[in-house]
Amino acid sequence: MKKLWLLLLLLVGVLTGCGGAKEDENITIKYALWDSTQAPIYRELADEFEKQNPGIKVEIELTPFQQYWTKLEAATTGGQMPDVIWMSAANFEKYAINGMLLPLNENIESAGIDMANYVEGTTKLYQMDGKQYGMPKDVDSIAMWYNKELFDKAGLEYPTNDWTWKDMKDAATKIQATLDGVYGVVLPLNDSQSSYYNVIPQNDGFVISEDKKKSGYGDPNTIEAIAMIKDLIDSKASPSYTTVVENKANEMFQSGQVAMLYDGAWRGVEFSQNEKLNKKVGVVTMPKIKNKKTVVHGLGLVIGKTTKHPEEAWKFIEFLSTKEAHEKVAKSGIVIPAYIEAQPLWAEAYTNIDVSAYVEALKENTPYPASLDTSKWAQVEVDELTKVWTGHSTPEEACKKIETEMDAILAKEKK
Amino acid sequence: MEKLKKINKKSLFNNNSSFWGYLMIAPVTIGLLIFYVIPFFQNFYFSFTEIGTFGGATWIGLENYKKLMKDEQFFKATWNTFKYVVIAVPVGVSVSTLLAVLLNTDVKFKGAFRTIYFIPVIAMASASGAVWRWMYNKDFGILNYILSFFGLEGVAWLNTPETSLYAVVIVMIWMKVGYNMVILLAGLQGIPKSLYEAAEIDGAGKVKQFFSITLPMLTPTLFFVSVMTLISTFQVFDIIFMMVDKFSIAINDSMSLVYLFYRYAFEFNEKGYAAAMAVVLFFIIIAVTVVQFRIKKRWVHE
Repeated sequence: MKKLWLLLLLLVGVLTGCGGAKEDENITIKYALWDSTQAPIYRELADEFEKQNPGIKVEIELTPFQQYWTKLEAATTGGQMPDVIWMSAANFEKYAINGMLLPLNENIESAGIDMANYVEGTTKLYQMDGKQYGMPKDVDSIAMWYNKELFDKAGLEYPTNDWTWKDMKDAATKIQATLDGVYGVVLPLNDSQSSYYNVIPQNDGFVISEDKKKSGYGDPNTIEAIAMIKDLIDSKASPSYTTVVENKANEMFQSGQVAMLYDGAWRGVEFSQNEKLNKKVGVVTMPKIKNKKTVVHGLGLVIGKTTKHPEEAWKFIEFLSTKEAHEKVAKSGIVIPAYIEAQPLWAEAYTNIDVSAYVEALKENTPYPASLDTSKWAQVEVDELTKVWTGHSTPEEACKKIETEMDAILAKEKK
Repeated sequence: MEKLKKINKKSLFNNNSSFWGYLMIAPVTIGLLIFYVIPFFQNFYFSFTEIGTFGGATWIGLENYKKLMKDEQFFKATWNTFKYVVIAVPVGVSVSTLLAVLLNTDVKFKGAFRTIYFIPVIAMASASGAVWRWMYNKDFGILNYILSFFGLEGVAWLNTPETSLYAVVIVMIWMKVGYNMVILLAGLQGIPKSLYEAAEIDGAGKVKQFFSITLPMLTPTLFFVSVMTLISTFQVFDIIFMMVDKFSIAINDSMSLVYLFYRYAFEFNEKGYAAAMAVVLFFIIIAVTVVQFRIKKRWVHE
């Protein structure tokens, strides 16, 4: 008797399961991302998308950044990529060149999307061989923070969006000389994106050629840019490289040890929440050298090649690329959207600091330098430039070395 | 007689106790096979290949090894690793021995001391690394602060090429001392008290007792501790990764072989080349361990 009841129970269970599966004819697409603060916004957007598109369900796959790329690589190797994926410039080539992403040109055309609505620098990041593989999602730009209190103490006028490199250097030197134990300006030299990747193009130099075949470190403008940064350290207006590595540029700024800081839009959240700091600081665009370009990075939305639902995946990306979707992301203040018209909403989300300089900065931009083997030549950059910052090499010597090794690495890259 | 015959006829798996024995060790054995033995041979194979970005290994024979022989940074990292071993093993084992001996006597709060010395062992490398990193900080670290009272100006201990390795090795020793101490304590307690009593009667002082009784009787444990410390020091990675910044000018002077392996395998995506490094490390460790076993008879009392 007991056995009979058991069998019956099992049968019922199986049948209910079966019944359930038959009803669910929805298509589920997986959306892979890593930022837990943005995930809720995307859940809301996904819900709206699902309402507008009955029959499609979006499953958000949140993986912490530390494991995101390893997991994606494993999934790709195993042929189980998510459908819609967050892609970064550093990893893009790897996936594109191995044919792991679907080109979106036809989709963009038939949907009538005008790519001029998005930041050009970010759009370019996800192109290869004339094909567009990603829709730009967000951008980050670099700008210059300044400490109003320290400027007041030194009796100087606050920086403006019209400052030149010379204005900045003069102010930095004066502050360092006048105020005890305070530096004038700090560039986070351990983070290329927040430091020299901006100064180099601002001096009309370049890091890597557009066809990704040549290093820009042989260009005299590049070498001059490096020398200008070194000069800041030599004149003591900037702290030594070792000090920056040990104490982190943004922490030095937060504790009032330096009056000006180059940093990215991501810093806005942290600074605006720092009650001791947010009233004392302002942000302006970086000082101009020959131009004021900011290096622009930004994530792209791509479709994994192994997707079983390419149409649905594209539909979702199309939805996320509308002005309304970008505005929603912008209002949260977490990241600047790639949709240009939606960008002012990001700055408006900050009530205690005026961060509009980051949006202003995007007017002149250059894409983040990346290629297939970015990490290899980036290591050469770091190895040689640290020698310059610490006085063990000259800008000319170091840049020549970087150029030679970087060219060799680029030549070996699969094309 | 018939019962005996029946028992003898039973095969391996029909015999109850053998079956359960194999069953009990199966989980560990399978785990070892899957996660250690097979990957070991796989790694050996990979060292002769070039691994594509998303899998796929192309045979390239000895290319990786040839490249290794010309790699300056590989030699530097290996040399750094040898330095770590040559300092950490003798110093670490000596300190552990001293501590074990002292904590085997009748000092007050013996238990508390043993616990205090053991805590670094169970603290996570990331936590220890973070704390030590701050202590070594040039402008705000406590070490330089204390030095300033003596009129000495401290440097950036972890970020100066000349001092970085030594700063790291101190932390390495600090992390292991408690572990070896506990093992040596156990070894000490295996020494018969009667030997000490006899020595006392003969008029031997504490120091003489240490060198004539304690040390010789401790040699088997010392041997074990030395071999284990040596093998683990050759594999050091986490503490260097935690304390010396990737962008530090001192990284080349303090990185170990495994650190370089990590860089090539996961940052540069050259897994075949990295596999070759791992193979070389394996042979180095094997060679050193074999030497240790060979000279064992000369100094280990058994």
